[in-house]
Amino acid sequence: MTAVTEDAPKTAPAKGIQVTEKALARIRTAMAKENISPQQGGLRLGVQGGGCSGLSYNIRFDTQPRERDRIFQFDDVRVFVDPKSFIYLHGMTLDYQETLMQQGFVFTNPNASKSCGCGTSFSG
Amino acid sequence: MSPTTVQERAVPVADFGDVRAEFAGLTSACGIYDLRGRARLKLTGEDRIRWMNGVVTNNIRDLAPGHGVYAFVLNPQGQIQGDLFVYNCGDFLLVDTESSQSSRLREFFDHYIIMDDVEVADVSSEWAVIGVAGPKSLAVLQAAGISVPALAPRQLARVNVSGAEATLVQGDNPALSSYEIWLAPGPFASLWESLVHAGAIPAGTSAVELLRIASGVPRYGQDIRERDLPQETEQARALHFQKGCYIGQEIVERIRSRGNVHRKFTGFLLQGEMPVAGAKLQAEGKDVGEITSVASLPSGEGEKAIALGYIRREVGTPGKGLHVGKGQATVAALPFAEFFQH
Repeated sequence: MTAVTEDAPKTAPAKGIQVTEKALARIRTAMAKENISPQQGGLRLGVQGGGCSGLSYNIRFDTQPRERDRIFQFDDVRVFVDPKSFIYLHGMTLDYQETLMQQGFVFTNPNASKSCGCGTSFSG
Repeated sequence: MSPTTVQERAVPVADFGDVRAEFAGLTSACGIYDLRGRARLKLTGEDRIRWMNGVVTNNIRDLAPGHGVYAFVLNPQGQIQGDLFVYNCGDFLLVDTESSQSSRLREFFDHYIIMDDVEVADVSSEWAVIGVAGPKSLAVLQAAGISVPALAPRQLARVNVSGAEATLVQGDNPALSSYEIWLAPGPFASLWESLVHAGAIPAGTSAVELLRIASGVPRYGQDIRERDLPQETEQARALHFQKGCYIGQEIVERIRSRGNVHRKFTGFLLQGEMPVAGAKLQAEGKDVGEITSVASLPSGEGEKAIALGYIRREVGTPGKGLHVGKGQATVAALPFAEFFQH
């Protein structure tokens, strides 16, 4: 498991966000497929308001970071998080799950008080 | 100042000297009223439509430019946090709500605007709004030189009022014809005067409140409280079931899939001692409902006392007799038809 914060070394405790090796591998493959340059672009993690539980995770690629983003570097993969989403996401782990039932990114969030059955919706 | 002159201030007056005559103006002719006290929020940003669709109970995703809808805002537990109109004005969404709800709704919005590109600005002072209601509304607007196109409820049209640009909105009062005219604060007084000149009767907030109760329109904070379930309010106009996920939807859907709620919002005709809001309705000695709004009004058959409130469905059939305190109440369908000309 890789844990990196903005200005702390890789071994720092999980104050920022964490991305597992499995998730990183999937991100690299997908970025290559989508032609996102690892130097300029990255993976955007965020929280959208609205939806059944009020808040839901959002994950997508962005060709470049926005001005006020926090940028996390995991080897060659950059992750962008806007400041308000970071309030909800700090301490979370992004994993990739592959089972017979489902495959996809999974968010483990210590800040969520209630999670929805769909797995992407939660209450703050 | 003549009694029909609107004051140069944003707080609408309670009355112009005769509440009953003002109410009669609204229900049998054409009344106009000052809506400058309402709050208006402007939402801009690329994500505004998708975001708003995920936050309110009605369909914003498919709301065409130039149209508006009534909606509730619910918390994740399905409790009603407020009500509002949302208009798609093309480049922005406009939220119209009672000023008493404005700061709470803004806080609610701020809480749920996270990664989305949505900006909220209070533009209440940039708009002055005149309400127009009554069977002769159309004739009065035309007499004042406003050309009125055919509109659907809560549809907007650009109009010209005495040289100034304005927006005409078709109202959605279920009992009578109604409109709103939105314009800049500057020409407000002159439009008011020209409507009066065209035959409109100025009405204060007291008469407008009587019209609201006679029309059976619930008011948030009084008839719609947090503890009332969305379906209990009987406001089907606020709910949409194919629009996708929104906050509180799970509860609304669960209620729908189970069939029904136990209580419903309805009207009551009163006799004997007037109850106050909060009074319990009883049938065979058991509590079966409560009063939320009361009014005493002149009708074609003399003075009538009416109320709005909630009743258990099994005793909620129009005509059903109930007790309230030392008086009697009879369940009545909304709106109260006896106050309106047909």
